[in-house]
Amino acid sequence: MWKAKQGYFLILPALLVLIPISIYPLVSTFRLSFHEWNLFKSKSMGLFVGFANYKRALIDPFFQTSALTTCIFVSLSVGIEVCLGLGISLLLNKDKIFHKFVKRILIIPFILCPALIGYSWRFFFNPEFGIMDYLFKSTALVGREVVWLGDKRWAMAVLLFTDIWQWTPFMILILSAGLSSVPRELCDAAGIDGASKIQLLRFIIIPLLIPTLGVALIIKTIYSVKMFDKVFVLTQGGPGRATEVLALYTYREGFIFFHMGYAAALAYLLVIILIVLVTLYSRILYRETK
Amino acid sequence: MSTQQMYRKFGGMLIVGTMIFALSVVGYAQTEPPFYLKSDKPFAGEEINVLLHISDAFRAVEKRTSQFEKLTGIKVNYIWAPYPVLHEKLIAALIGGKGKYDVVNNVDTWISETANYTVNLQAMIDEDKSVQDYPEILLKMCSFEGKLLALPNRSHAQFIFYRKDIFNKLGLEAPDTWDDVVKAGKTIQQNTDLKGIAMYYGRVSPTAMHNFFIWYPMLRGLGGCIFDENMEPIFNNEIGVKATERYIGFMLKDKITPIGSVAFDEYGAALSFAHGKSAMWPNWEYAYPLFQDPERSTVVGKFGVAPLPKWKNKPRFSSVITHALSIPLGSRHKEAAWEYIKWASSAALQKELVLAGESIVVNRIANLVDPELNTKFNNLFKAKLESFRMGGSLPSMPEWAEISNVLSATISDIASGMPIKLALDKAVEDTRNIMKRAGYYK
Repeated sequence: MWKAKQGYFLILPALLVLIPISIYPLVSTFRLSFHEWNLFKSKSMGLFVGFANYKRALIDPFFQTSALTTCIFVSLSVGIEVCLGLGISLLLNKDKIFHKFVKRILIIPFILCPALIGYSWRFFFNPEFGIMDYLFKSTALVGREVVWLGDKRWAMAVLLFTDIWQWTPFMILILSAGLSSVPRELCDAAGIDGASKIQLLRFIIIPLLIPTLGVALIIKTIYSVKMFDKVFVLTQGGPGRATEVLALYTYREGFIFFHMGYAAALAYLLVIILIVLVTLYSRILYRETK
Repeated sequence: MSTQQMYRKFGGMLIVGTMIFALSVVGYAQTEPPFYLKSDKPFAGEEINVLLHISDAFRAVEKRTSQFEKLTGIKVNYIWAPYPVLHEKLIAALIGGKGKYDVVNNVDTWISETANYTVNLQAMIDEDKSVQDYPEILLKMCSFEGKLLALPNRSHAQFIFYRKDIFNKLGLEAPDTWDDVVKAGKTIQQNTDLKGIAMYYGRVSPTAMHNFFIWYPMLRGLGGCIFDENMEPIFNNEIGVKATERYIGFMLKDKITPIGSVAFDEYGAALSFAHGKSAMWPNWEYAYPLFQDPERSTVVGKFGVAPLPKWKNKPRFSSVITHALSIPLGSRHKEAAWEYIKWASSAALQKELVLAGESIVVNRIANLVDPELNTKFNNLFKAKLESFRMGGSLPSMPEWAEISNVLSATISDIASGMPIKLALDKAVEDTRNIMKRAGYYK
């Protein structure tokens, strides 16, 4: 009996830290989302308005636009990063010094500060002196008149580019670890039986990689849905509202316009979206495993 | 009486007279302390925290703080914030109310937002006549619902900076109208490798909505407005469309802007001028020290300043903005803070900084008409006073942050190719929704 209760005492210090910094703000924000509160007008929380903030969000055209923008960003960034990450992991899946060295170098973008990444790429894509601008235009892949962050399609492309540059190493790291757990004997046996490399990938490697892939997809999706720092530094949601993702919209409502109740409701809608996505992933991917 | 006695008597009278005169001068000096600060140092030993945004003008004030500290015995600590994050820092500190700052850098368009959290300075200004020497518009901009909530410190009107050397070489006059800007821009592009005018249509920061600073005087200059008398947004009418066509036309129709204009903010465009890539840059005169700084500019001594261009046969209109100093309600050193504000905003300090070449910011009437300052800067300050009299400020209302966000996104959309009427109609609809939610319409 004492041994069972001992466990609770051991986790108590961690709970005492976790509750005020994590649980309390979550509960408080949830409560706030049911109130009308403009901080410019009053320091005290306003009236209880029920689901009015949530209803407002669902009919708000700005919310709809930013939700769509977020969808586009998440699907493209996660899709491209998974494919690229898998491809590069397969290429580096050899036990040689050179391959190990490359894996270590590739992790560098992932460990850099996102705000620094945003500022750096802003300079790299500057149409007057940016190195990336020069390189792309030199190859005649794009016209000379393109202003990367001033064009709606290119601004999203630049945002995706920087995100892919930062997060693909994370995919490589996770998927390499997953690949190393695929039994070599299975691959060898398949090879002896005449399976091509594509068949090996499709029928052996990928099915065995699903648990790892699931983890990578879930983590990257969460980060992509919440993405704020790069868009804040690179585009501020512009041009117009072309890159205004949900996190940036929520930030504006809460910390520029100080509509605290509405911003809390937006934040919780983001949480609901994430819960739905993660549940979907888990059901699809882990049902396959079973 | 012998001659000797007469000389002694005269000498004695001279000495006494000199002493009386000297005492009266000292006494006079003691009743009129420098900068109108309290003479007996009643706040000596207090320490105040001052939140300012990073700028040449405020840095110049900081350099002279030892002067204030000697005169008052008040210690000053400066906390600096980049302008794009000043709004958040300011609002968080004011709402927190824990007396973190004693003086804060406010902006005229934020006065209404911060009205519940800053001290009404009317009583202080009524008592202290020294701080009434402002153009009427500036005190109005720092007031909300009849209360004076900040004292103007840095006030700006709009001008156009232009490459005087190139204009002279090509036989061009300083542009007086927007049509002159286009003519000059095209001539310059045909004859040099510079771009005509560095405009800035980008959406760069949530609070620094630079991209409509020139659109607004174009709208007002034509007789247009953002709202009508019933607070209905009307900037999508014929006047609004014409003003917007002219504004965006520099880039889309006349093609006299640098390629980066679509994404530039005010500072990015200023750098295009400072680095000798563009021949004109329109906006606030505060950029003068940037263009005169050899470490940051290649156009030192090569540029001129002219009043902001206008529409042909229409009166000139310049936007006016003011950075002002407020005292948070939570400050525990309000009176010491007021002493600082008086000193930092004083005519004497302003003049000192301008003559030293460290600032060009002048907003006290005495300085705006000062012959010495105007001679040094070719009557720039007289032109500024005229702009204060003829111009106007952006709307000051608690909803302005949201509305300016709509306007900024709209300008950015138009610059990226959205049809003007469609974009303005949508912006008017969004603005109406904001006003409706705020309870302006029944």
